Amino acid sequence: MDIKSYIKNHMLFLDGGMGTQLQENGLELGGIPEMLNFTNPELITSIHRRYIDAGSDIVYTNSFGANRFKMSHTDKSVSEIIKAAIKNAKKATEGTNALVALDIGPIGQLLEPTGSLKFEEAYDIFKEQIIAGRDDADLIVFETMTDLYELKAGVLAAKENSDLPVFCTMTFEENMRTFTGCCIPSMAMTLEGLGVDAIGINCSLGPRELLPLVEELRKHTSLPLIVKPNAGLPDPVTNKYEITPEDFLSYMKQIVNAGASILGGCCGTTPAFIKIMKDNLTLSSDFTLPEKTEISAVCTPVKATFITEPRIIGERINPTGKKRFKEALMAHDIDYILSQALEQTGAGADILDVNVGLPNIDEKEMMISAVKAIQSITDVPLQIDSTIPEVIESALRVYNGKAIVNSVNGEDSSLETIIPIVKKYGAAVVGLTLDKNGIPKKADDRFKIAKKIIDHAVNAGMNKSDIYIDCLTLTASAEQEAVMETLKAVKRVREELGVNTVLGVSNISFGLPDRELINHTFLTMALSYGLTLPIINPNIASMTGAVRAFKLLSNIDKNSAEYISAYGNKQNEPAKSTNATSTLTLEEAIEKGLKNEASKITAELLQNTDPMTIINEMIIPALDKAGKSFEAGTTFLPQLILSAESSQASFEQIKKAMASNGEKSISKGKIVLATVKGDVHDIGKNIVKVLLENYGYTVIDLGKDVEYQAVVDAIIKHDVKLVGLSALMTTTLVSMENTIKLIRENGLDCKVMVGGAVLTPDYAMQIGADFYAKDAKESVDIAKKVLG
Amino acid sequence: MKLEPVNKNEIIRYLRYGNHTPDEIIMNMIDECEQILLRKITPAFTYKIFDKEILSDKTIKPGGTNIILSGNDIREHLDKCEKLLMICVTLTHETDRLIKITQVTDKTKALILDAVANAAIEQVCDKVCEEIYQKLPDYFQTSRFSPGYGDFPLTIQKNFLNILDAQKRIGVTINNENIMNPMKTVTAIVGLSKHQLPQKKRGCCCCKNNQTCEYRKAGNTCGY
Repeated sequence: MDIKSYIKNHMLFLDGGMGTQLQENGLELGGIPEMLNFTNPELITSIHRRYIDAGSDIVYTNSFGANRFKMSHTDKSVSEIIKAAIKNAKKATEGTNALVALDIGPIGQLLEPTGSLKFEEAYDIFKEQIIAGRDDADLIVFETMTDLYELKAGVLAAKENSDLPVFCTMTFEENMRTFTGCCIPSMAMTLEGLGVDAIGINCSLGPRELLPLVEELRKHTSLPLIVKPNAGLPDPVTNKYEITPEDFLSYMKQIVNAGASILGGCCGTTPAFIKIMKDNLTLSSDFTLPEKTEISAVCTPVKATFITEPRIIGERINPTGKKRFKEALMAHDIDYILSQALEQTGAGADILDVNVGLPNIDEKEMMISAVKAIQSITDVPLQIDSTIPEVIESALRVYNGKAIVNSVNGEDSSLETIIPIVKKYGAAVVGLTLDKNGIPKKADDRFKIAKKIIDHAVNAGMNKSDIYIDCLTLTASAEQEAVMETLKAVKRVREELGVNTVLGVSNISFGLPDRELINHTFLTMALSYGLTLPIINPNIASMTGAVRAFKLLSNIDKNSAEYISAYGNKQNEPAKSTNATSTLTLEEAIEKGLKNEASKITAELLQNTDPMTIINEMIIPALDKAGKSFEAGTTFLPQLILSAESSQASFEQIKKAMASNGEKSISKGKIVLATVKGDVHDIGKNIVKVLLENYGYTVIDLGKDVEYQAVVDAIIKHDVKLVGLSALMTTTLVSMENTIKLIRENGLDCKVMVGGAVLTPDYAMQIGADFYAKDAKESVDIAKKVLG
Repeated sequence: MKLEPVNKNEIIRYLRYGNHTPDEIIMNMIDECEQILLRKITPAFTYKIFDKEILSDKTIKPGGTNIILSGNDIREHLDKCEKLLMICVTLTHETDRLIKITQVTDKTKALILDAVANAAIEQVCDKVCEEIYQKLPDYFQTSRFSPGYGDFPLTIQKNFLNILDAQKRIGVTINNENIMNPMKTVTAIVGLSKHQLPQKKRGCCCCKNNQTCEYRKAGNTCGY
């Protein structure tokens, strides 16, 4: 049977619960079901056979947890277990037309950023399973998944290491999200984009509870739908499932009416459940799968963004023309990028453009780090801004959800190298209306290039709704006639080609005074010509304002609801007095923990005071005072951190000023900080980092769950004389000890300070540390001692 | 299940204030953080009830499972009980995420959110247990006993979560260093008996850490 074409217009029956069957046959809770493939293969085969006799067209192998993480304590390899599982299933299918699906469940550890398993490691874990099963299974199924990122790693592993059909089902709660917050539209668009053959829902809930979810899923995908519910919800006291096959059937009928065609059962179901479905359920004679969507959309797992009205793309994560940002990229300062991301989303950006292209840095590595970091703190979809295929591919690979690629253009080489990458990862793409002859002067010629790009992408298999066209904003001061040509092109593209349109608005005003006025006016004009995806600085109120006002005036913002909620209360707020802060000194602002004031006062001071004077005569003494009062027990940790964050705000002003003057920032010395391997608690370590930076040290923050070798490598690479290690758990103290051992073994000229709730001075000495920091303040004292 | 207002004294204790009271700025931040959590977080929990099985060598395990509850302290704790209630309660990934995102722009607030979460989860455990006890009116209960207390090893955590099917039911996993994910997650055993149970000793006197405990040194307790 050619599964991929069969499922387009036929019903298929999967099997039912295996775990519950095994428990009824004596498997103890806590035992490893996969081992029964060796200890009791006849039992496994007989369970499969019972399902096939009841009507299952596909049986799932007894390999749900057969990955290297979950099987690490057994004496069998992943390959052995999977091959045994398939063998037992194949025995059951002998003499029938039933097929064998390689069943892959969640790894058992969470991926970054929620957990510490790297995306690349997850890929390898799945790859091992795929390779073990690809020669003997008929298809691959990923089930009971709750993390879209993990599922993506699995799907890529399957598609890159085998040609078998791929089915995917995720497990949802009644609130229509998975435990990691993944919503149904995001699941659908991401998996469909990755080229999966059928998607759906399994486990967690019974068929009654799943019906609304199936209805929702049907709206968002053109793929065949798989539904494999539990036999209702289990009683926690008796552990029994209460729904009968008859009840199950009645809900499954509704689920078939809702558009599902691949049906089975999960926990608590038995062959009786499959039989009653097989005997009673058929596809209606006019069953067809829906057409592919015409609605443009991108997403993160938590947020699906439909481009059915203008959506703001934030432009700030881009080094072009931004000295402070360039400096942050050179210093690999991820925190700065994150603060820029949050500032833009807070100001109303719907999507964030991410551009980290700078000579002398490793753009690919920086892009991967930036994408992973940004998606860990914001739900907003990203636009990968690069034209280097390697950078684009790396970013799309680690992106969690469906992204936009900015950009391709009309030149054949661009289309031929980048469109295949975009298609493989299921992204949307921005096409620039330029080619090897440059940017056409006339709107009609830009329109021609737009058409070429769209035709090429659609012929390559992309959905037209995933192609956005940028008719290019030229600089008005240099090419004034071009402005209206751009707008005319936008209009034609939107109306005649029916795609979404992008423009990098800020370019228009380069070289003119009052850039904001020109940007704002051009944006408003462009929106009325059909611009749907403006790339702007959302932190400028008049720019986001223009989009909001446009939505109201074009009848998109019904009843002006969003506009009123954004601006309605502004009349009643008295203008905030700006004089109140002028009587406060910088020292007082830091002492009292007033971040905004500290920032303002520093900006004023910088007009006539040397930065080093501000640092040495105002910030440091204020911090020292805060530290002393903390040690004396008159103030407490939250107040210390407030002071530290205020001085950080002050420092940010200083850094900005020094960057625009082309000065390099000062450093008293470098310190490596890390939360040790296996430990994920990092608030304490992050507080230490802020304090140390405030005192003028450069902190190389390796993050949490850091490999021993990575600490050693960082010490060597940055030629560092002091490292700080943090651990919160008794179980991770061993990691701390091992990290120190490795540092000593490498004969590094580096002092080690340790901190964390479980540590004591004695234990610190025992594991070979040079210093014990009982709190954040003491880490500064130690740094002074070691580095000066 | 909804989160309820959190005991302020507990939050202050987690912020290491000892017997002192935070100033107005911090108290306001505490209130703000509590409101954020109350608004955004829905805790999750799962549980199973087992018969207590005593093996030939006097060790105990939940009936029908293969995990031995090792150590003297848990055996003593469950001494007169016929059944075991095993629970897992979590403030979900949303809480971890909230703290993480807050750290980017406001570390003080993140620290306070963390403390509020720590205080909140204990209250959630209390509430979950209350709900469960209402379903078992014939039984008396012991206090909660978690892996890591006394000589009840932390290493049992992986199996604990396994037999509760915690990943599938409420999305809780554990790494090789026995750190659970989400971070604000608690597992515990409660003994159930049809007969009245004697009061058990609790507190610093019975704890393995009573010589080294940071809380104790500052004149506080961890709450056990």
